[in-house]
Amino acid sequence: MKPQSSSPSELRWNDYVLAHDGDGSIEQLWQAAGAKRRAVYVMAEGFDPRTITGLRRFLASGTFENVLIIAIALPPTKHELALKLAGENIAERTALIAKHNAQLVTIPYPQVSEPRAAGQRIAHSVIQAGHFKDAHHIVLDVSAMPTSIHFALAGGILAHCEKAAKSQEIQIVVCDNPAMDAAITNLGTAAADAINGFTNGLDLEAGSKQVRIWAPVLGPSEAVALRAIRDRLEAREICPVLPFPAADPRRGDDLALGYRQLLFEEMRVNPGDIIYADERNPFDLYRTLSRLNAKFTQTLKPLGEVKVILSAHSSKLLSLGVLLAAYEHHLPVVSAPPTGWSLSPDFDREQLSKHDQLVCLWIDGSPYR
Amino acid sequence: MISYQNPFRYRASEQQRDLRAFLLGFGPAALHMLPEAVWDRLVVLRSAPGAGKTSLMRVFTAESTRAVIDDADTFRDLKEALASTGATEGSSPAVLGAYINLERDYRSLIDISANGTIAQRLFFRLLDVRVMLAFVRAALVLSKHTYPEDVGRIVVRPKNPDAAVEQAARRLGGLDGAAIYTACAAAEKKMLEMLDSLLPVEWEHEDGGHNDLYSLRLLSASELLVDGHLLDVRPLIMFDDGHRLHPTQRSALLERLADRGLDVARWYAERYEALSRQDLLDQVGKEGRDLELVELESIARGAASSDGKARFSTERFEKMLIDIANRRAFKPLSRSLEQEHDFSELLEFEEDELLLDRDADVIKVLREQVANGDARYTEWLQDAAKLSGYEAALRLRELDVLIRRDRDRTQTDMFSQGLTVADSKDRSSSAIREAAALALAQAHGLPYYAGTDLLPKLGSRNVEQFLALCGDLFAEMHAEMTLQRKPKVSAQRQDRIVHRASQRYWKEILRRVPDGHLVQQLVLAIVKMAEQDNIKPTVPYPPGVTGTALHMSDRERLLDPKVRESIPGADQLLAALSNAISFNIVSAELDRSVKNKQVMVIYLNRLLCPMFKLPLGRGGYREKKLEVMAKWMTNPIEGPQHEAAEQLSF
Repeated sequence: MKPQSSSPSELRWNDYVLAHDGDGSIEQLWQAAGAKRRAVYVMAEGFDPRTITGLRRFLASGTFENVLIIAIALPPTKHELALKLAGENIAERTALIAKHNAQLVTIPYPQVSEPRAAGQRIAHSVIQAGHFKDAHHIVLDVSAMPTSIHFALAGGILAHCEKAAKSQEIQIVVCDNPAMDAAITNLGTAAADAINGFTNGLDLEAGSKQVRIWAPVLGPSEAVALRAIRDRLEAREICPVLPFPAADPRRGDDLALGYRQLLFEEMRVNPGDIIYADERNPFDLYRTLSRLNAKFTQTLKPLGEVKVILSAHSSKLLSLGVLLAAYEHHLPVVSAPPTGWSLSPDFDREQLSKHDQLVCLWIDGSPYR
Repeated sequence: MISYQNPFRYRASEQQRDLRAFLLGFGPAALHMLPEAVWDRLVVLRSAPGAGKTSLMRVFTAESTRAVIDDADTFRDLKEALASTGATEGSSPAVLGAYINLERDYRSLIDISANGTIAQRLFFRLLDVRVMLAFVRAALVLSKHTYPEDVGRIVVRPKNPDAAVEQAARRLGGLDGAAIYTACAAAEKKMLEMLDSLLPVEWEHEDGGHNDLYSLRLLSASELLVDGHLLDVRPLIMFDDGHRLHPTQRSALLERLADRGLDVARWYAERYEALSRQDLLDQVGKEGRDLELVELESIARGAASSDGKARFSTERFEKMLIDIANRRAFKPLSRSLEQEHDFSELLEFEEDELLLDRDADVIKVLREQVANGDARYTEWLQDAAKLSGYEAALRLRELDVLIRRDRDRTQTDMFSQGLTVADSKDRSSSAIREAAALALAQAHGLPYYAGTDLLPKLGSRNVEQFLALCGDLFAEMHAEMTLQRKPKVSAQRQDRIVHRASQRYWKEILRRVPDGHLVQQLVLAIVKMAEQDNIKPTVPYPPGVTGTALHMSDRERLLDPKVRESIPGADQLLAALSNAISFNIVSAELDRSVKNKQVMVIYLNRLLCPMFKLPLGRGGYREKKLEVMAKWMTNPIEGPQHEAAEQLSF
């Protein structure tokens, strides 16, 4: 295990590279990372219209000569609208591949007994197949990937590239679209447990004197999942993370108000323990969680082994902050994922896609050397 | 202004962390749900989530027995209850309880390799090292030492020389506590790191697994020494959340736990699933001889166990729920009211309160409704006229049902004799009175779902659900206390709080339960079917239909994928029913005998009843064929707040 970073200057991503849509800087990051070099673009293959947004832009940037697209199949569905939307995504991807002379590899969704293990299995199979071997530039597009898949994939890619030590450039792309998030409603809740690849010693019987601190990154409509995780963890302290600053400045307050019974009566959260992170900057959340981990690890050490446990209930973009903190500090990440989704009756792909905002995080490679 | 904590709103994490709070809030009567033979054979505990399996196990852990014995004055009744089970003897523990949660990591082992043998060997290996670590920890807790610092004080000593026991000890690190701890902790850490690896792992090259539970073999044939002194206690290994195992892991584990050659008490708990092959325990052993099956909901309703005796009754279970609520609220109420007050006392009210000061109007309407000038019922009506208040109103509503029933029966007999008061009593029942009370409340906009008789029923035999409802009621008390007023909750407020809780429960199904939209569809279909019967003024199925039933042969057909293929909606019905049962949205009772037939009776969770204006009694259900139920799933019914959005099932 790596030593815990305690001061900002020791953090791996204290200085970071992040680009938001709007000023062409995302294309500049792609250019800087791997112009004219072999690139691998990893994406999901599903119904979510955001599946294709990143690839469309990436290939159109004309930066790369030799692109391998790895499409990760999601669990099969019989739902007509989902099949139609997924079919449209595949058709557009096929056209893009033909136009830009790219290659395609499809990774089937693995047969797993424990759905949380799917991401880890996918990561293992992609690595074992040697798809990253000759790649100079790896882009992981997590826009349409469930948390259990993108956490394990991102972690696997980082771990593999560190081990291979081939000076590869790794970037994560996410298409942020709150309007689309709102149009897709989570249904059902699976049992709460750690995501495979990010268990990080959560349930060691030998370490049963563990002092648990839980930092859930809050988002809307997650009360059932939050309760499931609370019951699973039996944490000593709970430090909820609210988005602030945010596009809607009242967003954090609204969340706190919506969860008031859960947070303040059921979980007995001390208002002083609430922490805030910039909604648009996952590196800010990463640094906040890193500080939280350092603080509790040090101060509660006399009580036993301290475990700061994370869970992401927020936007996909903010969940990347959880991913980075968990990866660097070996923190467990727990989820109680939905078992299904529903689309709002007035789901309009064209209209909703207008709100797509691409974000690119450069997480390993030349800026950090 | 003083602020108070709601003692029902921190049930899970806080209660689990704070042992003392947990023990203070535990109802000792729950221990009487256990059969007598719990120490010499496998005990399988089953229930819906929240029914109390984990709490029941937790009371038997070394931490709990130690705390109860050390503070016998505080926990006197719990100590007596533990002693009655044999878990304590005098002021000494007789059982060393170690708790293992099976939801942690085990199922993922199935996914690591295509080779099932490797996965199974690793499963037993991981389970074994965790059993030994939990055992060592429990031994130190019981002997008032510190874990893991004092592991060296422990020695496991074989009772007789035995090569098999020596082999088991070798696999688990030896006989010395420190060696066992070191070896097992290292093995656990290594396995979990491999299991959690982000990079590919070659499990096939690992040779750490084995194909038996060596820990139980070792503990069966050994004594426990602490600082060289014999600790005369029986090990009890409790495995919780067995439903989280893969079916092959579950059956392999149960097979080993059922071995009567083991001399270790072992309990195994899992979620009740009436629509799986879970009931096939015959392959493991014979109930009553090789194992004891403890189905908590079934015991709570007073069903007989394998020896033909009923250990509990519905009334006793409901009293136990009230007792738990009183214990939970005792401290905050005593603190705020500066005298001892039971939570339940604050929910009691005079019956007449149910009429909301509208006695005269309500009774007048009822008298006009029932009075029909028929001399046959004169004595009944004269008798009712002697009553007043709610009693009079309820009696008149009850007579309305009885008269309608009588007329249906005697319409051709125009010269029949007048009926006596005794006749009315013979023809009535508590179920008819319940139906009458509900109808009275609905017709006149009166509260119904209130009071300490009805509130426990809304728990639907589920401790957690009942405590959540108590939390809502306490919130009302809390507001009153904060304003320095007596926290009594009126019948009307109770009824409103219950309705709100019912609506919330309904609404949460979508987010809480897998295939929640199908579950809601099933519930709506049952409600629609119930309404067709309940609307009849003669109340043909008193107190009213609140459930359905499936012939056991139809249940078998539903479990058969080939049959399901041929019946439209059968797949959805299976998904809806199995999830509804697993999440306690409906309860299922297998093998109920009705008119020489065996049926699976399915009742709605009682907390759904207020939302759909249904009674809380479980008398009425209508049997339906599989094909009819399957059709329910293909013809959606519009319901209250029924979200029409389709689900994408991933």
